Amino acid sequence: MLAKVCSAAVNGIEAYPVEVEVNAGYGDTLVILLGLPDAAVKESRDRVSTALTNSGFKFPMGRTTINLAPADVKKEGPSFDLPIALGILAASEQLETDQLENFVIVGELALSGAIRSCRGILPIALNARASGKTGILVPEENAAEAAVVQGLQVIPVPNLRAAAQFLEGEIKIAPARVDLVQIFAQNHSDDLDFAEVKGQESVKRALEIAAAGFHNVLLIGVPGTGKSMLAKRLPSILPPLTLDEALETTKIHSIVGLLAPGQALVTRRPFRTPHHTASDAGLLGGNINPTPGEISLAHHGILFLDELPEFKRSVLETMRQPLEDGRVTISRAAGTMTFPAQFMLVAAMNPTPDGKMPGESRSSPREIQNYLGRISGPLLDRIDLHVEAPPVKFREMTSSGTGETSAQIRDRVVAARQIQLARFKGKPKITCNARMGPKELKAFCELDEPTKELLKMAMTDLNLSARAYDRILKVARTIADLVAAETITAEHISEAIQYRSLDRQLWT
Amino acid sequence: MGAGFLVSSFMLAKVCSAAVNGIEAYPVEVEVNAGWGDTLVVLLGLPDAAVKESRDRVSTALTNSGYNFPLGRTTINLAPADVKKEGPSFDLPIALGILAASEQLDADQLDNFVIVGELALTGAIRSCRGVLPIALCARAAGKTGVLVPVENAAEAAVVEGLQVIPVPNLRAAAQFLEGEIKIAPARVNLAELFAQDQGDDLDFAEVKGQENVKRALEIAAAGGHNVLLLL
Repeated sequence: MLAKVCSAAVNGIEAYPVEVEVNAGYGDTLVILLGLPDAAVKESRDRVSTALTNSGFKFPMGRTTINLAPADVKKEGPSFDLPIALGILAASEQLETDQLENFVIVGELALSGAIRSCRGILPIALNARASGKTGILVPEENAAEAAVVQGLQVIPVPNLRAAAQFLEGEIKIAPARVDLVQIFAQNHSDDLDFAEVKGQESVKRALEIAAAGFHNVLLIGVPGTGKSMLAKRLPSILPPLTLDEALETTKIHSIVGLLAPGQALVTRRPFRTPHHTASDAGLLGGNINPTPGEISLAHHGILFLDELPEFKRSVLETMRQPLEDGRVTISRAAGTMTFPAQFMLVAAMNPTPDGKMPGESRSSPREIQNYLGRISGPLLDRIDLHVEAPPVKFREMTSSGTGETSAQIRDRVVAARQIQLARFKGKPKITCNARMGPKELKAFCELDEPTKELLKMAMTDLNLSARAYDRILKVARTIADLVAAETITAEHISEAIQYRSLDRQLWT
Repeated sequence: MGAGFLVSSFMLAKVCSAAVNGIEAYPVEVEVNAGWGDTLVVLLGLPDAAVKESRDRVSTALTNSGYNFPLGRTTINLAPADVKKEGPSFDLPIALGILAASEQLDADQLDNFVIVGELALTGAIRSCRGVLPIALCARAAGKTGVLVPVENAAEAAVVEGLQVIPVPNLRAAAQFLEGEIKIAPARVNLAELFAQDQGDDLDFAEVKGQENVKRALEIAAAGGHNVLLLL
């Protein structure tokens, strides 16, 4: 009379197991749903009863108690329809199986008994494997997404009756499989290429360094210098996603429902471009029940903020902590969630409010100061490279010669990234130069005496702030990695110093 | 498995409808099940207040159109279940779903048409919003046609390769689906529509002088350039 079905739900980006217990008892016919169900879960009751009848089963008479354990976590969404239906069948002895223990079951039911797709399947599949289940019963449309998880039988079920028959062993359903190699092979045809951008060699060089060390970048230039054009081509020189990275990014996109039906994995680095009217909840995540925001959707990819000073200052300030930690913790009445947010911040801005170079600008120095002041020091502190995009010269604009292609640049970037991966082996939190802490800086960015002297001189002469020091070292490390140099030399340091233009207080 | 008996499938009906999110439409399946039990209408799929009111508009419109509202437990599901549904445009698909589920409508055409419309208590069909994106969505989903309120027919008819059936009231919609009456698909002549716009009241000839500004505007119009006038 009591049946237990294993299901799961998503909290943050991790799934947690939910046990659906169904008791078919005596009394007046009544269905009681326990375990803090929200509106969509409460509606399950009616969808399930109708789907049961339409699949040729009987809805049990008497008092049916359904408990979604753990009882103190709010349950959301329609994905408990299928486990509840199967629980009712088992409790009313219409389903005889010993397989319920071995499978995690999720799915929304149509009134006809057909099973509809739902969100967050990838984290649920990962959780099922972690808790040692044999397999998972999922809607057909989500099968590809779940099949990414190796060592788990992913059974795509078309309808309630097929699910019941599969559990009874009456029919066999072949587990869904995906070919990961093939999925990753598909995505190397980028539409955008660096070769399309005329001139701007210095900016391209800076972006190459940024891509190699995953450094945050700020592009400064008058309108028409191709800042956005260059930023949009940045994904084409980033190293391809690894499987682990792809899984993490896919998890986030899965719970927001951004995956196309049948899509197994996010295989391209995300490139998110929120408009400057974005709210802090939109950027960081939020809502009554916390959901990931733009910075999490850009996990392992790029967050491009065009017109950086136009963003609300309070919104920009909220990004400081995620930039440092690589994750964001959101606390709301409904609970506290942590979402990963390791993104590369690429920002673009004009040098002055009216878009002219400081020398030609009609704005007063005070106005320019105010404009630049909208970006706080602590935020600038977290941006390793400040790059000035000079106006394009007429000769460059009209030249027919093409520059380097993205593929050529990416080869160098990938090589530099390999060096870093080897260097930070055994330090799971650090994967690239940009994420080095003080300890790593000391260990891997040793300077010889003449180089140290050069840096010291530059810092006093150019009036560089103390916070620029660490940034210069990190960027110099990446520059050295790009030429596979063991030690950082004066040449690398002097190039790195160039990328601190806002620290040099050039314009005021 | 228990000795379940197969309940004949006429008790369940499915009507295709659609709703708008942003400027794109997404398909909504309206499933109606007429089952046993006390007379009760259950509306599922996160309906907002206007959708919840459908229940009463539909039951009155059904009676006033000469149909019976089915006794027993009627379950209406607007799938997908986790998206909030808004507005009165599900009235007509719900009504037709109830008719089909209670065997008052015998049609095999329900699968081929996307149906939207608000019902008046008399059974007349009122116009609703967002019909153009819905028509585009219907064509993309490979449907034969759409059933739309008469007032919105011109808007939907802009979509080529789709039968746009303007339905004046619930009874006509039901009869059309049963094949009892024919309704000519609405057509618009796109060339004619665009031709109408040419008769502007305003003319450049009315502006004296300013030849260089006119020349600049001519260039702007020719290339789609933005212009700033400093006069």
